[in-house]
Amino acid sequence: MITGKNLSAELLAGWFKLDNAGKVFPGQNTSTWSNVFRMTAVLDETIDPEILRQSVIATLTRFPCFDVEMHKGLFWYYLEKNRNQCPPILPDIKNPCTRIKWYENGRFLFRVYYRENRISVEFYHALTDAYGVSRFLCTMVAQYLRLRGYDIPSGESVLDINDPASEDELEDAFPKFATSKANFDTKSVSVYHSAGKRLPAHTCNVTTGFFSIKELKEHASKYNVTITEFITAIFVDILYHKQLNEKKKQKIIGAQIPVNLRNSFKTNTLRNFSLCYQINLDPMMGDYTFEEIVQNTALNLRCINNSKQLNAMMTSNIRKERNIMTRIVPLFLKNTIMGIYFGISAENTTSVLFSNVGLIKLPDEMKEHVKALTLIPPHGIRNAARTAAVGYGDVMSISFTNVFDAMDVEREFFTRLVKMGIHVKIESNKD
Amino acid sequence: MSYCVNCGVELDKSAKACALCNATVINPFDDENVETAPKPYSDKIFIPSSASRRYIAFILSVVLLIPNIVCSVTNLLIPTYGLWAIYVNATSLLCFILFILPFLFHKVYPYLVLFLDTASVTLYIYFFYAMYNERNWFLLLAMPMVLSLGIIIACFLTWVRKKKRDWPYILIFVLSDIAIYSVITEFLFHFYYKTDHLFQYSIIIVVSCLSLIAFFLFVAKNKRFRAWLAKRLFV
Repeated sequence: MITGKNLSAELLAGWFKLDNAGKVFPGQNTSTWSNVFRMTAVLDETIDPEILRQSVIATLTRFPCFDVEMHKGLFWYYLEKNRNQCPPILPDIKNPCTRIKWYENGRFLFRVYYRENRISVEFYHALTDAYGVSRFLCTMVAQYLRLRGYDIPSGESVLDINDPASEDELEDAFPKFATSKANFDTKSVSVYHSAGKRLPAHTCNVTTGFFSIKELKEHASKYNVTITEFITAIFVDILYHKQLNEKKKQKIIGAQIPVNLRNSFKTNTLRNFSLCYQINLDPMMGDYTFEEIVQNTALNLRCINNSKQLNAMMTSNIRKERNIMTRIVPLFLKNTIMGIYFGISAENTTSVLFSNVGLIKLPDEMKEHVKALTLIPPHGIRNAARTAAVGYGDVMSISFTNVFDAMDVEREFFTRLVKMGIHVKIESNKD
Repeated sequence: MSYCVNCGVELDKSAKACALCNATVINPFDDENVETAPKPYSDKIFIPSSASRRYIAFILSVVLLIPNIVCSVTNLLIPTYGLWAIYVNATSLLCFILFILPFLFHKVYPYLVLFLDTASVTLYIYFFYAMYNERNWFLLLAMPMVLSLGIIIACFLTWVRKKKRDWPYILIFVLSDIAIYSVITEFLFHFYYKTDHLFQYSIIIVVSCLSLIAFFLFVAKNKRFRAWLAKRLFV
């Protein structure tokens, strides 16, 4: 039972609407475009599935916004308390991030996998973003370790499962903070995608690289940029040179960087609360050196990374959602229109997507049991580099999800780090 | 631990090849570990099930049944304008056999489906012929047209199922079928309507198909042109 004096009437009645960002995902849901992403914790011992099941059940009570199933209204989808206890605990698979259907998996919109010493959760993006998943996974792993007999306190990314969910954890923060009066114009341009041979349906290559944050920071600081800016610039530079080598008409390189809005707006919501920055590099402007690309990326990011710009972006999205014409169109028509729209325009603006969830901090007692964390982004439908990073301790892991068989972007990225003198360890789902 | 000699990255203990460049891992000191070390991912591939076609087909059948029942009952209660509901029933039955019945089978039976389709279309046309019996058009025109189309499709099915065919050859076969069918159709029309020329309109279709066949033959034979097309037209 969800209680709280400031909660919306829907939440008090046991259901809630999808948030502003989440509303677009059901319309995109196809067998080839899942919008499902995965976070994995590597522990120091083999996982017991029964204990894992108990820890999922205990954790779900703390996360009522994930203990839900999706239903169709006449005009929108909505989420309602799930009647099942917890999703099935599944042995891990080779092809992560496959699509989720509302009626499968005990009607839960997330999956739990285990393998050897790894616990993975896969979440449908309509439910939450990487911040919400990191809190859920850390709390669940902490509970798992408690059930294994270790004394693990709450704190940092681990929420106290004895506390009730707070009001701001459950809120849809978009309408709360979208107060801008400015008009935010988004000009979308078609960007570079290389050709390639697709892997069979429902399969993808996942490549994860682990390296030291300190070592990378030293290189980033030479250019006076942050790690996110530096890595984004490397991706842009790789694609810029890749396109140059293809010797055809040069198109814009577009990089999308999802940003956690909780850093700019004070909320602890566990639902979606992120937006995407778009950084473009036009090769028709002339030749670029790596230094110029780093500066271009960093300056562009810093120009838009402020609460006023973010507020205007949020408000623009909220206006679209609140438009009477959008609202009165029945759901089946919305799905059809969105399916066609995203089928044509999908990822047209993205040559590379880099999602950096940042540093995940755990209580000291837990650190000795958790060896690594990885975040795997949802795979796309075009040949774009889709990458996600998470930091834990001094180790950063970057994962690539690729539905094409060419691995040249992954290889170029990791070998560049090696050439900089950074030690990189690779793991993959390839044979 | 092993490193890729090509990329310089450290590899997972279970890796037999570098994930980035496929270079084989050769580590004389660590050979046993490769077999015993746990892999980061399982070998099991999960293919999600698609929506039940049979279930959707069943729902569509029920939906199709409703207007038929309504029309039949209405027609029985108000028989002033003759048996008009029979047209609705016949058309619905044809739609059911053509578009819904194939999805009700557990497996795909192409020859059975083709036979049922040909038979139902023939019977549907015969139904109208029986209602308005004029100039023997069913036996001389409609039935030969439907049957010849059925035979041509059966030939195509047999050819395409025999072994995996290259897409330009499939298009060539389809274009040839279109050309042959246009000739047969005009031949039948000539004998039924006693037209002046045996072949007239079909020549345009045959010439168009032959030019396209020549183009696709060129595509099939010329590997460079095919590679260029694949690069330009990839989806």
